[in-house]
Formats: sequence, structure tokens, C-alpha cells
Amino acid sequence: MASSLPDWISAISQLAFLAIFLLMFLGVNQRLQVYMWRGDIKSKLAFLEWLAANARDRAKEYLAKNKGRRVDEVVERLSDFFLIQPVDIEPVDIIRRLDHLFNVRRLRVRGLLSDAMPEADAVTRSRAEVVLEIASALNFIYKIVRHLLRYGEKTKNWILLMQLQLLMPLIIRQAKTLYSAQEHFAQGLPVGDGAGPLVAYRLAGGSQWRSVEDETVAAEVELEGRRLIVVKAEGPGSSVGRPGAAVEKIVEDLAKSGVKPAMILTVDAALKLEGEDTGSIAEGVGAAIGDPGPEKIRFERVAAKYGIPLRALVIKMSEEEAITGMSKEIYQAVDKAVERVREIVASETQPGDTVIVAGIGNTSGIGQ
Amino acid sequence: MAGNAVPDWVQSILLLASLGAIAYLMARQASEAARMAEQERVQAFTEIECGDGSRKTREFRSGDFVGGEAADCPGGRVVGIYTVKVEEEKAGRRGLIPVKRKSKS
Repeated sequence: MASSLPDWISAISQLAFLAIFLLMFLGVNQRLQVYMWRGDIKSKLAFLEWLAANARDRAKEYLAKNKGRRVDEVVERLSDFFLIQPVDIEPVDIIRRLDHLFNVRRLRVRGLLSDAMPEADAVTRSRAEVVLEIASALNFIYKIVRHLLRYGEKTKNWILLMQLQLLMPLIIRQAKTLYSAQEHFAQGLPVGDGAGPLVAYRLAGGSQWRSVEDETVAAEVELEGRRLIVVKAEGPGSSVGRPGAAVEKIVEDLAKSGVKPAMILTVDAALKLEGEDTGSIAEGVGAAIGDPGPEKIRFERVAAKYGIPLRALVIKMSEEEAITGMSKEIYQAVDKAVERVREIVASETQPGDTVIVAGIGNTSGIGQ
Repeated sequence: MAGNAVPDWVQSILLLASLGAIAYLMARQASEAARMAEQERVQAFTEIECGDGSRKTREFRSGDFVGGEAADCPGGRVVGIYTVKVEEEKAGRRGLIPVKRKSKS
């Protein structure tokens, strides 16, 4: 009796099922899974490579447009520039060491850019610094992902590959944000993180600004009978200034003339949690500043030394919103934050008091 | 046991369903790669306060910064710059990777 087609299909299916079942004991299913993860990582890695290459080209373009010299050499040197964190198992004077390293890094990068862009002004150079930093960050992300992929393949570490594959959407999201941010910084747009400096600008009104510290300015204005000293980074270049050092200097100078500020209020952008609204405002106690330590500790030390209440006001936003062009929601929240500052100052200090308000954040596109 | 044999059409349907599922998964993978390259477009606006206290808004121009002078009106000064997401249906989504389109010549 000749076998019919369905009989053949059935026999082949059963054989295939048996083969797959036996192969499972040899880990073939795992290998197949790893193969698929690798494919996914590789396709995303190609995209990261594209972003990194384009970010580097953009940086070169920006430098060349602003009459930069030895553009290729400068971009290559800065794209692999690194900072080695200070020894932390011996924490004594770690802040001073960290501060020193940051200063050296800043001066070296600025020095390189001054040589490469002798005809450019300080604002253009500060933007070039950020454009290059972002190109460097994208290059670093690409190289780290490539390293983990190759290392995982080489050592057949499927757990490493699985973790990397699961993290890839997050990495891609951050890389895309950085890529968009690079364009916005190059254009000189204010970014979400500029909410603090914009609050400071609004509070100061048309007052005269004076330089206090490196890339940091202050202005004095009267607010409901109080003497308000407003501090922000010097714009409109891309800078966060040294608000901690500036406030410390202002408080010490006031102390010499027998004046103790009634309050130090820091205003900054803060990362929102999923589900929170962009532009929502929250207040609290402490120094609202997201630096790695040297600036924040100055606020805390000087406030503790003189017993000054240290208050904080934050405007909430996502990480993406913080480093890309300031959205309308954040822009509108700035006015609400200014009102809240007025309320805090009016309710917690007395007429005749001196209050320091520091607008923390990147002042790109926000002058004074 | 001919009485318990699965009818031919059931096997055909199962085969087609399996092929369909594979095709769907492959298409989904491809569209994910395309989505990855999409970038939200934003448009920047500059808010200007004129000398007479009136306010006007225009598109952001290179060189604008908050606190800077604006030649749009007498005594004009830039008081704010913000961005707005461009509506998808209006402008279409712009991919990060430029796609070369065939000309209709």
C-alpha cells in the first residue's frame, strides 16, 4: 500500500520533533537563543556605530565652520580623553583631589580648543567643548557595547550576551538622546537643565551682573524688602559654572561685613520618576545640584558653618528632556518656580534679610 | 487507526499558521530596526519682549539667546526660548538615517 502525502508529513514531523527534543539536551536551543541575541545586539551596534561616526563628523564640521585648525587631530585626541577617578579607599581630602582633577581636565580641554579655535569667541568654544564631549560619549558607548559583545562571544558567556541584549533598548535610547542633544547644543538652544539659570535670570530682572567665580555671575535685586543675591553660570555659552564656589565666596564676603544670609536656596532640574509630570515642582531641604561632589559639598559646608538654612527647589523632567532643547512645559514651569521662590523667600525670611538664590544647571542659550 | 487520523486540512492550516507566525515575527523585527532610527523633530521658538512691554513669538534664529537683543521691535529683548515637538502627521517622522528616494524622472 503506497503511503499518502499526509503520512509522509506526519512521519517527517515526528522525526523532526524527536530530533529537536534530543538536541535540546545538547543545549542547541540555548545556542539558537544566543544566536538570536547576538544578531539583535549586532544590528543595534551598527546603529550605535553610525551615531558615533556622525557625532564625530558633526563635531569636525562645527570646528571647521568656526575656523578651527587641525580639526581631525583635535577631535581624535578629545574623543578618547579620560579622567581617572581619585583613590576612594582613602577618603581624606577626596573632594579637593576630585576638584583638582576636574579643574585640570577643564583647563586642558579649554587649552586644546583655544589652540584649535584661536579666532572663536568664548561662547563658540564652550559649545565646541560640549559638542566634542557628546561625540566622545557616543564613541565610548559604542566601544563599550562592542567590547561586551566580542568578549561575550569569545568566552561564550551567554549570560553576558543576554544582559547586554536586554539593556540595548535603554542604551539606544540614551545614545539617541545624546545625538539630539549635540545638535541642540551646537545651535545654542537652552536645554531643560537650563531651568535653574532661567529662574535666576527672571529673578534678577534687569539687574547688573558681576563675575564672582570662574564662569559664574551674581546679581543683586530687592524682593519684598529682602536683599536677594542671585547666582548663575555665565551664559549664553554652554557652562554650568562653579555655583558652589561662588556661593561660598559670597557668604564669606558677607560674613566679613557682619552679614549672615537668612537662607540659601538652590533651584535645579531634577529627574522625574515615570508617571510624574514634566514641569512639576517640588521643594525640600539640601543642595539641589547634580555635580559629582566638589560644588555640592561647598553649599553644605558653608551653610553648616554659618547655620544658614539650605533649601532646594526642583523642576522635574526626564533625562532626555534635561539635555535636549527646553520644552514648552519646562519653559512654563520656570514661571511657576519663580513664583514659588518668591513665596518661600517671603514666608521664611524677614524684610531686611539677605537671601542667596542659586540657579543651577547648564546655561546654554541663557545669557544675563 | 484510520479513524483517529488528523484530517489533511488541519495539517495544512497548522503549517500555514506556523509560516504566518514566522513571517510576522520577521516583519516585526524589521520594523523595530526602522523604529530605532526614528527621531522626534522639534521646532524652536523665541519669545521677545518689546520696549513697549508687548510680547511676540517667532521661530528661533541662530544667535538668539535669552537676555540678548532682538531687532524685531524697538527695544526688543529675548526673554525665552523653547522647543515644541513637531506633530507626526504634519511633518512626518524623520529618520536618523537618511533614506535615498528614487526620483520620478
